[in-house]
Amino acid sequence: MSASAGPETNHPTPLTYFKAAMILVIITAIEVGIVYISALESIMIPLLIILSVIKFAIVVLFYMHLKFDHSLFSWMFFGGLTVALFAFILVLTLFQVFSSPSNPDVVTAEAKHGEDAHEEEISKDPSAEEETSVETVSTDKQSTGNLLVAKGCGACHAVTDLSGATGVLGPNLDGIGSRASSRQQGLSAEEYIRESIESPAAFVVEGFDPIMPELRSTLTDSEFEQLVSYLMSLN
Amino acid sequence: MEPETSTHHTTTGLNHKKLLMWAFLGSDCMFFGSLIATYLIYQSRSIVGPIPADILDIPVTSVSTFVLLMSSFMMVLSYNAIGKGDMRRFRIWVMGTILMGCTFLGFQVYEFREFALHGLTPRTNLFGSTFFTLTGFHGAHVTLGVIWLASLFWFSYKDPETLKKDHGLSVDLAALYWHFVDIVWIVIFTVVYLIGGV
Repeated sequence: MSASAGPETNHPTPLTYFKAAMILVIITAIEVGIVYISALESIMIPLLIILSVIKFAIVVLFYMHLKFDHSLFSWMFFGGLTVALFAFILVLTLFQVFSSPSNPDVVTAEAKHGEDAHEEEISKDPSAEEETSVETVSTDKQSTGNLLVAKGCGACHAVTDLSGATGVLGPNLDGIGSRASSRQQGLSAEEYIRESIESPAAFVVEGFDPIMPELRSTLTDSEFEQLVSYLMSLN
Repeated sequence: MEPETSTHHTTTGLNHKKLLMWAFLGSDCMFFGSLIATYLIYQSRSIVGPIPADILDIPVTSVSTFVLLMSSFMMVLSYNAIGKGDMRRFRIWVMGTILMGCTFLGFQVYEFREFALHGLTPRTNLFGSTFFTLTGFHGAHVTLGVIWLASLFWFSYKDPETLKKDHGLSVDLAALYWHFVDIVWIVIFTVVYLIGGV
């Protein structure tokens, strides 16, 4: 049951396994504790990774007997693990998971508040059964800005001074009202903005991924017009 | 004769079943590595909630993690018992492992149900899709492991000599699979819940 060559010398006993189990439990408790200690926030991630690697090693080397078995088994397992890690890091780097700034969730608290308030309006009006939401007719700039956030646009696009519009996945919308006129030859600013919402894949700004979802169907005609007007006002 | 040495001649001198299991586990690392990478890539790109911090319950998941760790301990004791030919202890510990595994699955079912009730399903957002795919596949691995262990428990009554053969090779193979499922959960718990869930 232990080393493949020579007499058994390092065969773990049940006591050894019990000690390993206790170490695993203690490390897990420490990991959970670290998460709730704000003073350790800056080193939380590397600390958790190190502790997890220790737990991983204890299980692999002792419970799975790799420490005592033939080295070919180690080559088999760690070979696959190495390829997996290499591909893992490569893919994360490709998608800029390491290089992007600390990614707050795209759904920010403000955007969620705007969305929740909007859903509350729908629930108060049971007759509004279609998927498009109840119209939020409003004319002032702050209200239409809130509409932009409520519809989820702020999750990907940022607008200065608009709370909840802090997304970085799409282009910043400051100045879009004037900038849009020069984006596509033959299209006015308004035409460009309209088409960008109705057909998100039509004009993808260089440096950004074509990931904007089709959200026109979630807007009533009035809401769509309000959004276009708001975006036109951002000069 | 050691379990990893073969009763038949092999070029490596090692049992092919055990070699295959280790090769499979190495490949399964790639499988879960891709799922975890996909989760990390899409983790903060949902355009609607709920987000991990809203919904993940670290205290409850810590308990299920403890349960799975204890199941690994019981599994290694059952393998130790079969190596000594102690069928009674083997049955006790493998049944303990099965019960712990089922408890863990119960926690997963509870969690999935709670999430669905709170508006998170695989179709809700990117977080939901990747979370349920990753933990769902892990749960499927645990389920298969429980079934495998249950078959060993049954065989311990039906044909104990086969189980004892080659110093418990059959149990050794199942134990390797079960411990691997445990170490995958160690990674998932850290990455998804501890790092990503706060």
